Amino acid sequence: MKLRALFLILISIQSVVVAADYTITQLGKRFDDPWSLAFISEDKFLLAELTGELKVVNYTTGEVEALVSNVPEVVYASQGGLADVIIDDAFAFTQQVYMSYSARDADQNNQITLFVARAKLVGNALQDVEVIFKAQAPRRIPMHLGAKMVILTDGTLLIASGDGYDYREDAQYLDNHFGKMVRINKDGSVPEDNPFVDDENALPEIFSYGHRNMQGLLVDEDGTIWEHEHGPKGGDEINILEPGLNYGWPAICYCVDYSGAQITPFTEKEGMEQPLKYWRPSIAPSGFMLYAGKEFPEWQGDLFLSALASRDVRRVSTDFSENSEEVLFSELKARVRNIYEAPDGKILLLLDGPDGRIMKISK
Amino acid sequence: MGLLRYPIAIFTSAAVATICITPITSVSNLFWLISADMPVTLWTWLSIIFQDFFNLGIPLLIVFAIGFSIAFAVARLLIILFKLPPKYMYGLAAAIAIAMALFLMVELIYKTHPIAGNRTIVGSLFHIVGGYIGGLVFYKMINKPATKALVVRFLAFIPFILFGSSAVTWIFDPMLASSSFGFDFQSLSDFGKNTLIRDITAFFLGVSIFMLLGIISLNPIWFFSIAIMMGCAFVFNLVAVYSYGTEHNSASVFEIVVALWYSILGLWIKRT
Repeated sequence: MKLRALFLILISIQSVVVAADYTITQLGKRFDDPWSLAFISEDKFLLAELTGELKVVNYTTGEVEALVSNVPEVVYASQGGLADVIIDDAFAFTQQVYMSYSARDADQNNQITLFVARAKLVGNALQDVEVIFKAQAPRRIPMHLGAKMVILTDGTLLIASGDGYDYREDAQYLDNHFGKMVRINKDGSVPEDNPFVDDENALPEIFSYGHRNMQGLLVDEDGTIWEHEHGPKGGDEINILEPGLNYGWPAICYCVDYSGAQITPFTEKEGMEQPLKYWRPSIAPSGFMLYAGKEFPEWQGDLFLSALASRDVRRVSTDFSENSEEVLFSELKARVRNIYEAPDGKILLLLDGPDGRIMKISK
Repeated sequence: MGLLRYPIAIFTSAAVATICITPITSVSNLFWLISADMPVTLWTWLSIIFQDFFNLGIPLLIVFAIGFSIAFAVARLLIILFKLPPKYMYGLAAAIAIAMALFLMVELIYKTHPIAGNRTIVGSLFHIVGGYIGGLVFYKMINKPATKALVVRFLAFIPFILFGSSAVTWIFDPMLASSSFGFDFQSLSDFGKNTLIRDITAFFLGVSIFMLLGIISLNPIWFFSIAIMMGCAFVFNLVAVYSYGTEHNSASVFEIVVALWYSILGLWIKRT
């Protein structure tokens, strides 16, 4: 009887995977650690490879049209390199692009930290390259950089600065940029309404803290900031970011360390935010997308997380109701590094690795 | 039986080093949690230390046992060649093995510190001292003959590590434990959660206690009790597969091996 009950419980918790009607095709050939992309027109996008190369890729053919010159020099090692590229919300007029990357900083004992630079894309070259942010988070090895960026509805730039792995406790202290979301103006200056701007013990760029390795960042039409971050073993989570809030890492977490050791037995504390959703065991989320395209009307308004460990994509409805998660594209059996919606509503997946591919999902 | 004392001594010294070393990570975490105003209680201390003993300790035990095997062989060679004092040489060899293991973990494999307690110089020094203590234990053990009782205890102790680990995880972190058994803990009803925690913790803790009692008393009845429990688990695993259509799983192999393991140990003790 008990076995039957146990069996029934097991049956009831099976996640339902509904096969959707879609086609997967490869776009172009192989790419070297494709990490992020940004459409600069209907038929072209910039592709950032972790190695430090920025390429102009034709969306129709997948061919590399040009290698962008004058890209800042990066430290390509471990998880470090040219991580994220985004374009200005008025790119058509400004041609401004923003890049996040790891590099050595002479001002911080020549250690590695997260840099953000802006530049003008003229033809296939970057001009007026200017570093607008250097994280005060020096580290020996470029681990857990975060390095995601998004432009908020008020025109400021939000940057994810990860906890550096070995410096996790610093995520709780406001005198550094480990484990922080950072908000700056597009010229690198600090917005006057940042939450800690009047706190002399805090760095003024900090927007929120208590983060680990943030890998997903997006803003919806209402201006809500969605973020997801890697936990270690367990503890991958989705949050909505608000200024000045503490998201708890590493004091609270639904996780244990990679080594199996406890990081914290606590999962909640007053003054620390709870995730909207968390995964245990980890899926290792990478990219983040809020789908609004016409190609898949049934998916409009849903969140998509590409995932490395689970080698698939998770579609999650924003009400986070039970059974709101669907596993997609697991047939690729690949670590999915990032996910984007193309201008025509099709979905692009960046598959991880030095032999990486770009896959186009269409009806 | 004489030669068995070497692997037993290596394993035991690695276990002692592990016991000395895992609390470094646990305590450093606990100190930080206290400094961050987290409500750390006696239960928190027990929870972290016990879980780390098994969850961090088992992989460390394997790494240390491999490192000690090499280090003690080299030390033995040096002792013979240069007539060095064995007690301190084995201690030194184990300390160097730990230092090398920690160094290579960071520089060669992970490029970062997988063991949180090793992130500071003080923490690293404590790890090396733990290794030295392990080396002294090795020296003591190889100077005593391996008795049948020692061999039985050693063989009975190995599965205990796995069962104890499961028991501790079920006691302190049932959500994590249940995920590795295919359960989505959050989706269960309160009664379901209660049943899961109550019955499966009782199973793992009960079997672990039987193992400990057998190891301490060498009374075969405890080993036969384990064999009966694991034999039943094996039978009902097959029932689940063939009568209820669940998938085959590797747990059945583990269950029958453990059942036979303790049956043999019980019979071996009984023969004397």
